[in-house]
Amino acid sequence: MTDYSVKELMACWLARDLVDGEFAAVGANFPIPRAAVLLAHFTHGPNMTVGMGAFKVCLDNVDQVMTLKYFTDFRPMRWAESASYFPLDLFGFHKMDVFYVSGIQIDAYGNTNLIGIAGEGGQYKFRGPGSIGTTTLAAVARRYYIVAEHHTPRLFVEKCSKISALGFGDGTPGLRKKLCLPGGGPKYCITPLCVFDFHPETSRMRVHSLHPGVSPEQVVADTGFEVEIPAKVMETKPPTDVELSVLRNRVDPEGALRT
Amino acid sequence: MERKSVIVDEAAALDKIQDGMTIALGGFITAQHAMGIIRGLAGRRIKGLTVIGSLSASLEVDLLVGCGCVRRLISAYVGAEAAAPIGPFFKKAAESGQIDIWECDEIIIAAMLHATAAGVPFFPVRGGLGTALPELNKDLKEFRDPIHNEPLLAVPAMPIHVAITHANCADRYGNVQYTGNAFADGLIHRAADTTITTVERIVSPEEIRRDPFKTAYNAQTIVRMPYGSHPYSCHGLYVEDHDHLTQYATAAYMSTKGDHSAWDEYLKRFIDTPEDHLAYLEQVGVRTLFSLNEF
Repeated sequence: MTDYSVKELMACWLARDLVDGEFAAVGANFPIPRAAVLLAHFTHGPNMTVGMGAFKVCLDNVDQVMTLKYFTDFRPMRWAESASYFPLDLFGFHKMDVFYVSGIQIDAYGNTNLIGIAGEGGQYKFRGPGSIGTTTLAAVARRYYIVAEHHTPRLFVEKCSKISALGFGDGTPGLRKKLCLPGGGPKYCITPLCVFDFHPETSRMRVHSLHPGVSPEQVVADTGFEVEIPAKVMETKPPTDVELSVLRNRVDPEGALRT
Repeated sequence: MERKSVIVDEAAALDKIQDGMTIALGGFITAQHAMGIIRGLAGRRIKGLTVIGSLSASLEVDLLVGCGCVRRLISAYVGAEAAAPIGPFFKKAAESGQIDIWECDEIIIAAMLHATAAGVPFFPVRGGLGTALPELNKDLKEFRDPIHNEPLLAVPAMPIHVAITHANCADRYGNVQYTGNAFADGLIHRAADTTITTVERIVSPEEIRRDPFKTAYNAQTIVRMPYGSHPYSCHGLYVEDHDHLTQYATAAYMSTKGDHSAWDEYLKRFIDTPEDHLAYLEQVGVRTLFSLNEF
């Protein structure tokens, strides 16, 4: 089997969880989900609606897809069938099947924070970039994935300082239903060490699978909240040669996932 | 009587914006900002603005914050993605309490603009329930809808004095057309009392009438500014100037860390010395400008 990077593993794992026909969007500065959506589109999702920047594209017969530095880059226009109609498409978010979110903090209940970390006297110790579209998408998209490029106790905290995208709140059973949020909330959280899912009763993150070579102790040490590790925990299935070939030749020829 | 042209020069357009006003900037993240006007506001060190960076903003808002123009900021994001994940002056001003932030996401700003444009007191949204937003932004009010008794957030309308947008072309009567995506520009035009639009080209009224469906809105003021969105992109014409954005981000970041030399040089070269937009383009240089419009 070919050697692979952990980012390639994460992209392949996320791609397998996408279903043909779904509507998923590719951001700009978020390389792992970008690769996952494109890989799924090329391997098993010819009927997917792929949002790329401000366009909906179809990549049939496209050999290689450039990496964009900016969301608003208009060059994917060459593959576009339609353009996003602002801002009404933003109100169409509730029809989105899948989206991906990250944060400056991720907590045990799948809440994420892009706003900031409170310091003394009501001011910010660290101001984040802002919520972008995540507040609404987390409320309305059918399901979403939390994607963390690092796995540290500072990122994975018991409770977010400020919640910008609601996962399962404080774990109150049925909270999302009580708030009448149409979206199902976070399905998985993937990190460079493992995949987390959410306990059906407590809504807390628990280890779903460990990436090859990662020990349960390492996850415990690098997670800032008390994490449940089931007695029989699976190993995350590594990329296949076919997946790696599509990924490296068509999706990520520049090797963004290998750095 | 003759029909009047709405084309003005940039000084006359800038005179319409005074200290303490609420302005809404068009475009989206790193595309289509009326930089000729925004640099002009920064150069004049206009004070006390409420700035709506719709719907997510880039470093054009960071520049206004860095030049001390902003009192209150309404934007779902301030940054330039790979060139600067967070706007440096925005980050520092938010941490020091120098600016008030109306916390929101893109849909919440869009809802505010919809309410304003429609002349209704508020527009309802679902996103934000259970998050920190209603606690950080007291204007967002949770309520029960009278139809199904579901919890929702009411996003209030907000008066906007001036919308400032950049587009591909307009005729002398203010009919504005875009080559690519107009993002939320039509909405901010409808929400604002008046609109200033900078355009790459002035075209004939006949060219506008060839496809009136393409006219996005009718601006009250037009300023001719080729490459007017630089260093941001203009759909179909030129892409983002990554090197310039990186230069800005580095200089601004160093300045927030106490080393002002690169920022002072940037300000002098690109904001304070050029007497107008064309003088700015001369500073950037034709080689750079013409490198941005190849596929």
